[in-house]
Amino acid sequence: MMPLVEPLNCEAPPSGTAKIDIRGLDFFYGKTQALKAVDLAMPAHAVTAIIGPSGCGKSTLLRAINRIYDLYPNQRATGQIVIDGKNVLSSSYSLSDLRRCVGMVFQKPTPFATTIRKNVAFALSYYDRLTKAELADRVEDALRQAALWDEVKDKLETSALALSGGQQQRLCIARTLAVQPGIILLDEPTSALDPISTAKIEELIHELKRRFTIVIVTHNMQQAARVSQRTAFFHLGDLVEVGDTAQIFTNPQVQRTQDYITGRYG
Amino acid sequence: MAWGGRLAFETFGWGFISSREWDAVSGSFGALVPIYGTIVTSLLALLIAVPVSLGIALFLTDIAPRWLRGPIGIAIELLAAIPSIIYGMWGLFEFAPFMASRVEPWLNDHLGPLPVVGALFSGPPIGIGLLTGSIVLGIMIIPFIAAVARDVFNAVPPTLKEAAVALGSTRWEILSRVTLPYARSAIIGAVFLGLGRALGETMAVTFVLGNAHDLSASLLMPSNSIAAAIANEFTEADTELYRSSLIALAFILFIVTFLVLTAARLMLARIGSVHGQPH
Amino acid sequence: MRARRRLADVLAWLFATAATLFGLNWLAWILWTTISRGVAALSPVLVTQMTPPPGQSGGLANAFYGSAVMVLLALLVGTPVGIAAGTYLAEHGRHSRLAAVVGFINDILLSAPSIVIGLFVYEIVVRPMGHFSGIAGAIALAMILLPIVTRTTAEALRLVPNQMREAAFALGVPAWKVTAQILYKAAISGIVTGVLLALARIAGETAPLLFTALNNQFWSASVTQPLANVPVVIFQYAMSPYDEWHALAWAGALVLTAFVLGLNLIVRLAARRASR
Repeated sequence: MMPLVEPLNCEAPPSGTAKIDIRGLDFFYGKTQALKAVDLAMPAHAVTAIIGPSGCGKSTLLRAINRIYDLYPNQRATGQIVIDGKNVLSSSYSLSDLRRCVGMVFQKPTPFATTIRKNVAFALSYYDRLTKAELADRVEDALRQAALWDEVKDKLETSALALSGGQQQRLCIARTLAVQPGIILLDEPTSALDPISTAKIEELIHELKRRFTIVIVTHNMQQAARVSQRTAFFHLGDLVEVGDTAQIFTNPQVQRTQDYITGRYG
Repeated sequence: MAWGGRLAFETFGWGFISSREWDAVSGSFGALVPIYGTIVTSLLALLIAVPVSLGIALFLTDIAPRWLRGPIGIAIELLAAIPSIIYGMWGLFEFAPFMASRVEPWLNDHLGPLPVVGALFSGPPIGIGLLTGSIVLGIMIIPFIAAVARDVFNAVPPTLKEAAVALGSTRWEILSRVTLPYARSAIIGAVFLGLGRALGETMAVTFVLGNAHDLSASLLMPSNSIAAAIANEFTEADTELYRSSLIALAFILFIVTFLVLTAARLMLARIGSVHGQPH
Repeated sequence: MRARRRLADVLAWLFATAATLFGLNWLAWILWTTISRGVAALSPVLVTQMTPPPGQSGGLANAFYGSAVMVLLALLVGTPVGIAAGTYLAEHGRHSRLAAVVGFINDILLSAPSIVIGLFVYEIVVRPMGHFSGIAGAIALAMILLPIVTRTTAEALRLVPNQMREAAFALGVPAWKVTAQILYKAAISGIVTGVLLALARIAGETAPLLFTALNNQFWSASVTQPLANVPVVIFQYAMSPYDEWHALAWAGALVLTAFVLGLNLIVRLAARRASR
């Protein structure tokens, strides 16, 4: 696998153009096809929500974007996912470049079994040569962006496992932000959290979209309506409909979308 | 390991033929006595250990109050940790005399005269012999079976048990009708695990079996097991033939133990996947 | 009808309690015997003098030394290999043919009775060397230690939730760093427990040493010669007709048991505390 000569540009392209452009994506778990010929463009500096009933492929889509499925030999994807003009699905593309620019936060908070500071700084030393001072700055920066700094600034050396669920999730967000990606993927980030933490994280997403491109998978339609600007509805591996959030929820064009939104099936 | 097997096989190759000869010459069924002893002691040990282990597992998962479970669980695990040579020494110096002075005369007097069973309990009560060896072996494998049984009992989904309780079942009924059937293959796996351990156990039985090359129906008589025979006689084995036949015995033991333990692992693995653990 | 069910229940309760008392009884009896007989022979002489010929008094110094040396050697060799093998099995177990082979070999080693392993090492080390040696003993002990460490390491790593692996990979960090810094930290207590319990196990093993290191009546610091060790000394002295040797055997048994059980207790109590 030859790495690209120049690193992926994590900056946003001119506004109005798509940051992530998915073309003709098929995804397979062994023999089962989970995604069929998906064409989807996600704009920069905005939140795109992926909704649909369970098993429709929304998490699969997310996992295709940062190629986390590469860990499992019987999962594969064909087609193109173009980020800043380069197809990241091609085998000559460097995985660590991709994952530096595309961060992912999972459904269950997964802090590493170490201190808060080490959690946030974990990936940093791999990418950049930073002095101790610069490292500390980046850690503080990331924690501030994740709205966690005030709560943990006095206990950076304590174990991350001692934090509450909501704090742990924000820590995971900080950990992702620390490497300064351009895109953030959120896979049902609040489904394991209480309502107050959920509200805090939604606020955070609102703030973050100014600097990043965000894709969020959620089974909670109200959440999608609250935080996103674009919404894509998936069903059984097909992209059924995509459009502005307001339009999707008030005036969906396709019958299946209408049925899902009105709760005809879950 | 395959290499070692081949070496044993080479020796075994000659050894096998010559050991049959040798054994036929020096005693009636030379190789038969250790094999017989191994089988008898292991089976008797299982007979003792399995009910006791299941009882302990039941106690630990159901009957004991919570604060007691930890300490007793650790105590049982300690029983497993005691080196087998200590079992052997205790067996030789403490338990065998006990058997000789208290238990075996009683067995002799009360069960000896009985028609069929009596043959099992005849003979001088010297303490050392199949019965003592089997009991010591049984005690040794209790913790292994009990530990697995306890884990299995704990793994039965509580909803199954709750459903039974809601129907008014007693504790015994829950055990026999819900837990045991659910965990059947795991329990059998645990038993095989104990069996595998018993077959290969050396030091504990070496002390108390007596190293005799006689075949006798009585449990009170001394006998031999494969492992004990090897341990006792190896340092005295001065001819190539003698040594290779002992190694041949070891090879047999190895194969049998491996098969038994693999079967055990398969059965236990199945219960793992039944519970949906990712593996 | 109800009375009969009640009766069955009470009987079951009685049986389970009796079974537990039965098991505990043996533990108590064995420990009591070891302690009472061993204490009688305890004295500083144990560590200062060497194993005596029959009829004279002495200690077990060379035996302790020999055991310590062999156990440590086995630990040094077996632990890193075991952890590496366990890691490989846990992280690649599903997709690699090599992992299946490694796992299979490990299972064979794990299920082999210790006497068989002793004989195996006899064939491949003692025979070519021409005589018994401490090295052979250490090798035999290492072969018993290795599969235990491999298995417990693999299990400890498998317990780490997959999500943690994915979270680490999603940050773009290479595989070795994920394993070294994240996975090991999460699994460390399981791994250490496994190593310590394996250590306790091999400290008490007799059978493999009978065919490899045998015993040495005199002080020997060389591992290429037969090396004295505690279990074999206990075995030989206990089977002998001499009373002083019996006493020494009990003393050795007490020290060995104290060490093994002590280590077990510490490890298990620490594990329980950690998982709380």
